[in-house]
Amino acid sequence: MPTTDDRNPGESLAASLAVTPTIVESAASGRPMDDHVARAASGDRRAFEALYRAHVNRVHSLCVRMCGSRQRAEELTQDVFVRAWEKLPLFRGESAFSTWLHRLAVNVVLNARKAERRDGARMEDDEEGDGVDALPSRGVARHAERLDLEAAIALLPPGARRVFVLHDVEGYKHEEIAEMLGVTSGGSKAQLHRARLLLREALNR
Amino acid sequence: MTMPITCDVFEARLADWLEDALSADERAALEAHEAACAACGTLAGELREIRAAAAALPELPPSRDLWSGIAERIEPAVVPLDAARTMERRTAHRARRWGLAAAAAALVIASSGIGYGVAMRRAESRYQAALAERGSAGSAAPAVSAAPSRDSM
Repeated sequence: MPTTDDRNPGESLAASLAVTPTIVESAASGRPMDDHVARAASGDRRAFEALYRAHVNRVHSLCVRMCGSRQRAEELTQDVFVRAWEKLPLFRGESAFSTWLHRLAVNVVLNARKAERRDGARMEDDEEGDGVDALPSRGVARHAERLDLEAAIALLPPGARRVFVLHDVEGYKHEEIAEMLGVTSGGSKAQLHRARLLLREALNR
Repeated sequence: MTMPITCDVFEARLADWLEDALSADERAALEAHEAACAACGTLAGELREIRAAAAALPELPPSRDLWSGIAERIEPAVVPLDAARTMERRTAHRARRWGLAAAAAALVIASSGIGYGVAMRRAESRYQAALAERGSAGSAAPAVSAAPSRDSM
């Protein structure tokens, strides 16, 4: 297993994990979001657009990290909001709208993958290797550029990536992840540990 | 006193330790090993850093505004007014044509039915007449077809 001695001198793992702050846009209408939800549920498209603008970045982030492709993530993001428009009249307000939307986004991404598997489209094999072979190795031009966490996540095997994103990025518990992915809680924990070890190896290369 | 553990045991229990899923005794054993073993200490520290960095990842905005694509899909189909009027006229014209065709067909059927009925009654009359003649003449009645002749139709 790689150790700190293998990294470039003077550069810590923490440095490679440094994140760039970003500005999150928010709805500019001035109306409370609950009002937008109620009006959108009644068919008000302008209110729904306000909800879209308030939540699109988070939904898109989830889609990108779960599916590993920015192009596909934009398609999925649109699918999420179209589905949200259809289901909004059923939203009871038992949870926050953001929680409801987020859970819907996870379902859309997972169902899209199931559909792709059924249709025989090019799909990622959950069990292919351990993902490390896909990571840039020593001696390659990228050696001078430290792989950042975002790029390393995208290179994870799909099963490990999904669990890592849902647990460490999005904050779901293993019991919830197990239910969403149709696996056991123990399986979810194992995938998470595997993902963290792979990321550590990638970030230390 | 905490029993010392090996690096293999430490790595095997590390995932549960990071999930706070260990007993107090197990936790103490791993903490002791972490403090005593540089390699395992580094491993645990780096996994914690990854977990923390993941939780702090920023949101990723899409490369473009996706709203127009969404709006198209949630908008009900709208037919332009001129096209709507054209469709209405075509529908009405089609209905009139079908109505006329239906009326003509009904007329043909009705006349056929009337013609057939008249022919049947005529055939019956001839048959009755033939029977009457036979009865009065005491000879075999001529063979009369009950089916209407082409001429009677």
